[in-house]
This record gives sequence, C-alpha cells and structure tokens, in this order.
Amino acid sequence: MTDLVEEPGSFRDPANAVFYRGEAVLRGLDRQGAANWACVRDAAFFRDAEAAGRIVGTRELSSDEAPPGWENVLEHEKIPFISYPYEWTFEMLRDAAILHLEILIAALAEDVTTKDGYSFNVQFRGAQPTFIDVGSFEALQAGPWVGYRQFCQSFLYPLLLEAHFGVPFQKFLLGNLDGLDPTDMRKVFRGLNRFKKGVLRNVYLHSVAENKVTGGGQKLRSDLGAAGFGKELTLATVKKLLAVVRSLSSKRADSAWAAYRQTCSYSDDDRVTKERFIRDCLTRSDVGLAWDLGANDGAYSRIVAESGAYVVALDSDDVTVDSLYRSLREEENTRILPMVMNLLDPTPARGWRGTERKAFTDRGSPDLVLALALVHHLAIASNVPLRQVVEWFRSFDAQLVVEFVESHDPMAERLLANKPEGLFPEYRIEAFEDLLGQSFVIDAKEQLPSGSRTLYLARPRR
Amino acid sequence: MLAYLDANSGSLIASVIAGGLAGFVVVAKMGWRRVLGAFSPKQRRANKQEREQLEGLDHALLSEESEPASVAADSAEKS
Repeated sequence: MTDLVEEPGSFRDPANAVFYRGEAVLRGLDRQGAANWACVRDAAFFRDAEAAGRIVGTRELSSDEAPPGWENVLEHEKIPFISYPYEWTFEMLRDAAILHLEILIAALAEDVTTKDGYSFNVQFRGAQPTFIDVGSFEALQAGPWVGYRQFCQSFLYPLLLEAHFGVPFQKFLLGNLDGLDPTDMRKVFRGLNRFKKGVLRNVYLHSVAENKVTGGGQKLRSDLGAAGFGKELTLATVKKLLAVVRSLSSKRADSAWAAYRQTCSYSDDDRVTKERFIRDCLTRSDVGLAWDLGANDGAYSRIVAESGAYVVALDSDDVTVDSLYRSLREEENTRILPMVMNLLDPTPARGWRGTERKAFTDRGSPDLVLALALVHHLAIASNVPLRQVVEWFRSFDAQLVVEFVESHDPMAERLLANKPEGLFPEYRIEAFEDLLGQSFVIDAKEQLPSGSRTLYLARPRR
Repeated sequence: MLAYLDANSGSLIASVIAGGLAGFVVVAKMGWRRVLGAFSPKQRRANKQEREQLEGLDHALLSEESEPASVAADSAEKS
C-alpha cells in the first residue's frame, strides 16, 4: 500500500477520499461512507446509469485492499483526461448540469440523494459527460436538497450569465472555484432582468432568502417538515431546475474562428497534404494521448483519434470549441475531449494549497503534440520569441507535429499588418528550423503546395 | 465538495420556493406557524421558564448578549 497517492482535491468529505495506485483510481470509505455506498450499489438508477456510462464505472474491492485508515474501498474506471468546468463550453456545462439533475431525479425515486450539487462532480469522456462523485450519494434525509445552492453557484448562474447576457463564464469560474454568489448575481440581474428565465426564483428570491433567513439548522428542517415539506417538493425543485437548464441556450456566434475553415487561406491541396502528413506520422509510433494545440474545428484531432489515440482538443475560442463539442456529441464521440484553453495563459493550479485543482500541464503526459497553424499566432500576434515557443514544445517531452507559416503567407501577413515593420526579424523558417533542431530530431519535413507553410515531425532530443 | 456541512438556511428556503407554488405554500405555512408559535401557550410557558432561569444568573452574565440567546434557544428546544 506504500504506492498509494492521495488525490489532493478529495479532502472535503470525511466519509470518503480518492487515492491512486498506479493507474487504478480508488475511493476509501469510512463506516458512514460504506453505509452510503450500501444505499446505492444495488439501486436500479445507479446500475442503469453506470451501464450507460452516465455514472463512472465502479466496483467494490475486498476490504483487505482498503487504504490504511479506511474500512472499505471502491475502484473507479479511469477518466482518460481530467477537465474542469472553467475549461468547458456552454453546452458542456449545460449537459453536465442536465446529467447531474437527471441522476438526482432518478436517485430520489429510490430514496437516495446527493450531498452536493457541484459541477466538479462531472467529468467528460470525449463528448460524453459522466458523474464521478460516487461518494456524494446518501440515503434521502428529511428536508430540502442541500446541494441546491452549490448547483446554482457552479452550474446555473454561469449558464444564466452566458444565456441572458452573452458573457462567457469561464473566467468567472476560474476565479471562483465555489462558483458565482447569489448576492453578486442579484446585482447583475437588476431591474427587468430579474424576470428573465430562471432568474426570479433562483437568483433574486434566493439572494433575498439568504440575506433574510439565518440560523435554524435542524430546527428549520423540522419546521419545514411540520409545514408539509416532503420528497415530492424536492423532486419539484429539481425538475423545475432541470426545465430551466434545458431552456437555456447561448446565442453567441461572434467568433472570428468559428468559420475559420471557410475563410482561411488553405487550398484543398494543402489540406490533403496536411492530412496525409499527419496520417504518415501516426504510423511511426503508437499514440495513447495526444494534445491538439489550437484545434479549431478539430479536423486534425479526428485524424489522430482514428488511430486509437485519446485526443485533447484545445482552443482559446469557446464558441469554436462549443461548435466542435456539439458535433462530437452528435457522433457520441468518446475519443476527443474539447477544452477551452488560452495557450498564452493555460489553466494554473487552483484551490487549497494550490493543489486542489491541477494545472493543465500536470494532468497528463501526451505522446504526441499537434501544433498546426499555431506558431505564427504565438510569435507574431502575441510576441512570444520563437526560442520560447520551441522551448515550450520541448517541455511536453513528446513527439511534435508542427507547422511553420512563413511571413509571406496571407494569414501571417494579416497578423503582421498592424505590427511595426521589422519587429520580428527572427521570424524566418531558417531560424525556426535551427531552433527546432537544437531541441528535437527532425524526422520528417514537407512543404505544403501553397509554398508558404511547412510541416515538421520531430521527436525530443535526449 | 461538501455543501451539506454548511447548508445555508436561506438557500434551503430558496430551494423550497424554487419548487413552485407548492413550495411557496410550505414556506408561507412555516412562517405562519412560527408567528403563531410565538404566541402559543406552550411558547409562553417556555418564555416564562426562560425568564426565571435568567433571573437566577449573575448580572454580569446577563449583560452578555450571546448567552441569554443560547439559553433561550436551548429552553425552546427542550419544551
């Protein structure tokens, strides 16, 4: 048991905690945790959802295998790559919210509830959301669903913000792991805005009640019970929440990147050559995990995923990533995980002691990194020196497929148009190739037919 | 993440209201019961008992706001 590693983000519920033993994901249960597990392990809703992939695969191990200090232990199916709500798109957060509520409704029918309503209870396998916090289930108690506030903060309010005001929620969630506060949201939804869908009850009255009603605890629960509160009212609350979440949609389509494929300067010959180059690269070695940096519509992520790899498709434009997610969802794709990520400011570690939620780069080691049509954005649009771009690629310690767009390419010219002349003297293919060769062994190189773009396959120099 | 460790009372009430009309009715009934409860003979007896307990306490203790409140809460729960 010495090889057990405790998950640093799993400390808040004293009844259970997550550990890793090699690739295995374990959950230690104390007596209360074991009692909670006994409530759900044979419940029909749990088994049905697990079989459908809506709850993470879970099996009970012998108590002899329990981590020290824990009575029982569960083993969970491993999620290929962890993502957080502040890296999801609107539709991803909405689908995760729907999943959470649907599972809760099914659980309530069997007198089981969840202790919380946190968006971190859900992870994605490709475009499929799955509920991972099995330790959250417990026998239904008297009184309202205690996860309501947390659900509002971490699911509903970010969705309302984007659906009603067109404001992307990711930055707000990154800055507030607990989610958005009812009182803050009440200030945002002022005047007639409080009558927008889902706002009056869940924001305005919520904030009023929170400010007016304090104390009470168990007495409040018994008072509610005496006034006629029962399970059917909890169900009514959850069903109304579900109806609100289902009715929300993002009307943002203002992305310059959403139509990139139609407006970019690629010729069909370029595209075909690029696809073939990537396919050739994939025949050279087995790829388990790939990162597609600046994935846009995910066209090349799909090619890599065809080889059997799990692909994390990253792009800073949430509208474009949302469009990719919708198409992957339609295909029921479980091999490509779309994520919103500003590569110039990738997600840092967050939470208690800076370890509760991991930095993006600490969540896995890719075997292959795709950096197609990316370098000119970093180097020209964002002034990152070419040397640092290559050093950053090297830090992944993975095979690299990279595209260099020369300054006479129409897309590069567009970026250079508003920059002072002579600002980027080093931005030349010779300089890039020299820097690349210092850190990588270049295994293949091919210029695209248009003559302004070159592809490289490189492996880290040891 | 544990919401249940610190379930905010206002949020619990809000969640009931979010359940719709039936939730409003329950909260209204609860509020009304609380108002009525303050004037009920049972509550009056509890208040009287509480006053008697407080009279027996040291004056210095009485001047502290928090203590009588907690004593009141205890006696109300026991009644």
